Amino acid sequence: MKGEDVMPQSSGQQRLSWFQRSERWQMFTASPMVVASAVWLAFIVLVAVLAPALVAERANFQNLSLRFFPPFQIEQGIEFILGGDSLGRPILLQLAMGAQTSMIIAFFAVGISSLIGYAIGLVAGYFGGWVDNSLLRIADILHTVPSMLLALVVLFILEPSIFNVIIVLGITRIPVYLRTARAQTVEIRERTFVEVARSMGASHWRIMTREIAPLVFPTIRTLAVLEVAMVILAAASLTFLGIGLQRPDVDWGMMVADGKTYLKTAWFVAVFPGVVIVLTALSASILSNWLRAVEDPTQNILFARKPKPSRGKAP
Amino acid sequence: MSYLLEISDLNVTFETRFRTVPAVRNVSLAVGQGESVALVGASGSGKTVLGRSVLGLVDEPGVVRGSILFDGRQVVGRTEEELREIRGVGVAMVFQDALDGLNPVYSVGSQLSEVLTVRLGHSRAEAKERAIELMRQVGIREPESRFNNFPHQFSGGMRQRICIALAVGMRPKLLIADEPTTALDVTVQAGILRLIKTLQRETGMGLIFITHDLAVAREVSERMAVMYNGQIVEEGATEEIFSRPQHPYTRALLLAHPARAKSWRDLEPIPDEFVTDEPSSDNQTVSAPAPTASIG
Amino acid sequence: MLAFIRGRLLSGLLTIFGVVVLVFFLARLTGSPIDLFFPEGATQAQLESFSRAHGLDRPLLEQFWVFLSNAARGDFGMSIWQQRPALQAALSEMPATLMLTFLAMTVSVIIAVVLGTIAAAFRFRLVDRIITILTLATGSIPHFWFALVSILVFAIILRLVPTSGAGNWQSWILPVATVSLGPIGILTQVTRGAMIEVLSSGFVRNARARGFGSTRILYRHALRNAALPIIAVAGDIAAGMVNGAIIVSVVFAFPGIGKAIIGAVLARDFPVLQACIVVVGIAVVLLNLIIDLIYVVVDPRVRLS
Repeated sequence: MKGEDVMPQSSGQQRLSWFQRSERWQMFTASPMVVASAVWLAFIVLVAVLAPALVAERANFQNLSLRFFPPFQIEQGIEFILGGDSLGRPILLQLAMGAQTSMIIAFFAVGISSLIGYAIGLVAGYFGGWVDNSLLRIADILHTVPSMLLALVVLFILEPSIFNVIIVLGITRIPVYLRTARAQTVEIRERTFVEVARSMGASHWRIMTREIAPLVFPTIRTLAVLEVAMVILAAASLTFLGIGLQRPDVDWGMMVADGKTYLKTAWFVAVFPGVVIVLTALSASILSNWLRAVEDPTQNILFARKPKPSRGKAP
Repeated sequence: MSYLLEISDLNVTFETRFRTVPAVRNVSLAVGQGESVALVGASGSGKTVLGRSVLGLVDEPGVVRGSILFDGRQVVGRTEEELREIRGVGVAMVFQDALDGLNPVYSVGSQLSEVLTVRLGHSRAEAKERAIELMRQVGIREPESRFNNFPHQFSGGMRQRICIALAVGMRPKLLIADEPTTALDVTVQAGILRLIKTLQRETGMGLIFITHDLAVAREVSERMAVMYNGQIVEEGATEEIFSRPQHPYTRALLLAHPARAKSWRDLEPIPDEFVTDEPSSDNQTVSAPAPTASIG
Repeated sequence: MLAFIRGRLLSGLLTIFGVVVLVFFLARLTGSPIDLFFPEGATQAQLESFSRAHGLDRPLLEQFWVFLSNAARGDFGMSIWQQRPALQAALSEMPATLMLTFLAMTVSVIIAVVLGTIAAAFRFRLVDRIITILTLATGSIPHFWFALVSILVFAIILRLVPTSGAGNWQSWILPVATVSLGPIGILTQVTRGAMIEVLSSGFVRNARARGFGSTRILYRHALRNAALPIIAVAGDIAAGMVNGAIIVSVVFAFPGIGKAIIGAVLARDFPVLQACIVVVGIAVVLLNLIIDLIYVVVDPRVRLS
């Protein structure tokens, strides 16, 4: 009865929001995995912001005598704790530099695709008709061409660069949000409170922005967090294939690609960057999963509460 | 004399780590062979949970304590496997949600036949013949041609009739009907009620009819138990209760019932003290208990 | 049912048309498609004669029409490096990819149904939680890294399978595992969700009330219904499998459309790349059509409407 014991007996409205907030916080702290994921993501973001200013020079300094320097040894200082790569650069600092690239790509690609998809999905779902149909059709077509193939072609035509990777991923991920936002809008549009707003003479714009958009937002937010993971993975795949970026830009996928030739002799060059990718993507997935649990306690999985007591009602 | 069903001191609670909610409290109730008993109460009064507990269908986090003797055998504390001896062939149940009651991917004929072959050991041919007969018995016209139809091709009332056929097809000694007409159109309700009464008369099975509707209770039952807040507050012959209700809640219920009023002005609302303002279980935001799950 | 299939067929054709249009406009994204059809270092005269011969100096709409009619005949031009039509270069790699996708789809559906059903049956218990964490993790592992680590462990350290190629059956194990990884995670979660929903439905409760055994309830009543969303999502995943196939061809030097695509990218062979997109698009549409047909067979509500 943790949440309820301390529940203030004031008005219903206040009670609800206070209760929800405290519960959300409890759900957050109650799970070490969620806390760990949030801390890890915050750490990566911090590194991404600070690394270029602090360690750029030392990260890219090539010392061929430290080529494939083995990991978990500190004779060469803490920066070589994860070993040295094929050009004798410290892997740890390279990872820090890679964090910046990955975070920039994830932030902007997710930002672009979520905003555009959210907006178009709302409009399409609200108005329906041929606009809606053709938008869905376009989303279908984009879905039929594998995202990586599409990205390969676009980067083939344009130049490999961080900017172009952002544009490619930003556009190819739009359909995900579009479909979700549209489906929810179509459902919400039919609800009574929207009818009421309409009957009171609210404009389309007002209904969309004030009545529908706030209800669709939580889903989009949860999806966006999950998409951070997807975009990190997609970007890493492109750079792994050698088509996303060019040195001196570096990201984790590129580092794995660098190491793949030396798998037999120096496994750590390819393995460590991958571990970082997995940890970061997994953290985003877990956070997204947790957000979903907060929003819809019945559906969720990892952070779900036990089945609720049902009183005298068949499920 | 021995009863068909004897419930004594039954308590059902829903227990999670953070709260315990009683649904049924200290209920004792007996049903004789071929007797029909109505269980009346507002939604949330525990009548459905009581009905389900007879079949051992109360799931986690529900906990059942006390004694339910069916045909002299204890139901409480049995394993799922042991309960199969009672379910269907001993006690059958018809539920409220007629639209969700049939498996959408199998034809109604195959679902009826399945019950007969699996539970009663009929051969396929026997089962089909009997299934068609059952369909006719519950009032489905041209059952031969509708045998291979799927649930979505039937109306809600027809689907409930098929659910009833599935229940009585196993010749149970006791039928529990849980608000079988509530989800249906008013126009088909009377037909379903008449069907259940007829089937009961023909087969001689006992009947527990769960309803919130006093007029329905009066029509189908000889005896009646009024449930309020998980307890049986009044029990007796149906006509007796209608003419001389003892408990204040029963009186309030009778005064609030539209059937006795000439116009809505005659209706009395249920007094506030009887209205449980406990949030209903499907209201997620308010009644959700604190989180219990954590990982790591 | 016929209307349903006709609708799907029509929408598939429309999608393929859309893919062709997409290819056309992608090629003109930079404004000078000629560059794409020639390796770097071609002379100005070469470029101009090519441009005239292929009508690239004509108005856009006319070019579009020519492109469409050529595409309808399966003509995407000649490969720049290989002395054969681009379409042929793309098609010759398809059998290996189809086999890989088919195997991966089968493997992932089987594993996902088993894991998802277990998770749903033991909902909120430890098994469920472990399975859920695993499925989240599989979705967070990049294909290429999984492929490399599996080579490191199974080929280099344990020497159980070859590191590359598609010679014997052992060489298929790691590629299939790599491509299945993501789908297993997604499909397990879908199965779990669908099973939980079905298990809490009225007809499953009724089946229990009729005294059916749990095996019968799980397999005959629940799974058949839970199959519907699983089939639907399997269709959505089909396109994503090609992503895995591309990576697999790079890491394992595995044959397939991925090899053609990467080869075309590295050799700057745009006609082949174009043909690859269209071929993959058609394959995905066909695969979805097959999945729709399975759906129709399983769900009487679609079949009879």
